[in-house]
Amino acid sequence: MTIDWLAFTPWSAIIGGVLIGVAASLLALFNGRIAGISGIISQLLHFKSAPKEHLPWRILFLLGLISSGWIYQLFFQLPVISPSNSIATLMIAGLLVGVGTRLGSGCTSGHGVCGLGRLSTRSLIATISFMTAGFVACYLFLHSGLI
Amino acid sequence: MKLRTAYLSGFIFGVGLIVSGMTNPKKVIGFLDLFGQWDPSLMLVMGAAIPFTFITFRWLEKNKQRF
Repeated sequence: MTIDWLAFTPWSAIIGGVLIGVAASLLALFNGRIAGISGIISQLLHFKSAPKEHLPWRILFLLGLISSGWIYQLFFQLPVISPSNSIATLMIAGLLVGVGTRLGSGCTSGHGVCGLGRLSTRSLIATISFMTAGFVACYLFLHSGLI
Repeated sequence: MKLRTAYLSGFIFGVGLIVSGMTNPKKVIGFLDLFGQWDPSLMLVMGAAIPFTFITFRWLEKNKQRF
């Protein structure tokens, strides 16, 4: 393991992390909800069976999340993102992320930021599991020569 | 009120993702690439966020709010 000092951005990571922590705290304090993004999206897709009273805050949270990029670029420059993958690969990858987060009942936001913050054993196991799976998958795809 | 805080929370969350670089798949893969050139940024993002949720959930727990 060698640290990529050129790619490592400690200060922006910490500042961004603080914002994410504040955002998750706001939703917990004022709405009494967990800021788990995969869960919020999946419950929106299940709008027929999910309790109706939860619909508005979920929509507003996602609107905030999506509009943030647009509002941000009015004042600052957005980071340059250039995925080298085809649209088909991105769609399959996105679908797998969705299925995986549903199987694991949460993602980096719900289990990672919120679950670990409330010292949930379930979330700790989930976070260790998906991070380990990510490390292994990355190794298989980038270094093993098998894929 | 609740709708405004839900929007605000999503908005701040999104800005946090942009500022931290986590909207860029390259940064996430850089973190997962433990056996190559490792970019620890994602660890600091979580490490900076969790103290806030920790304090918040402890406070809520004390005030008997269940999730």
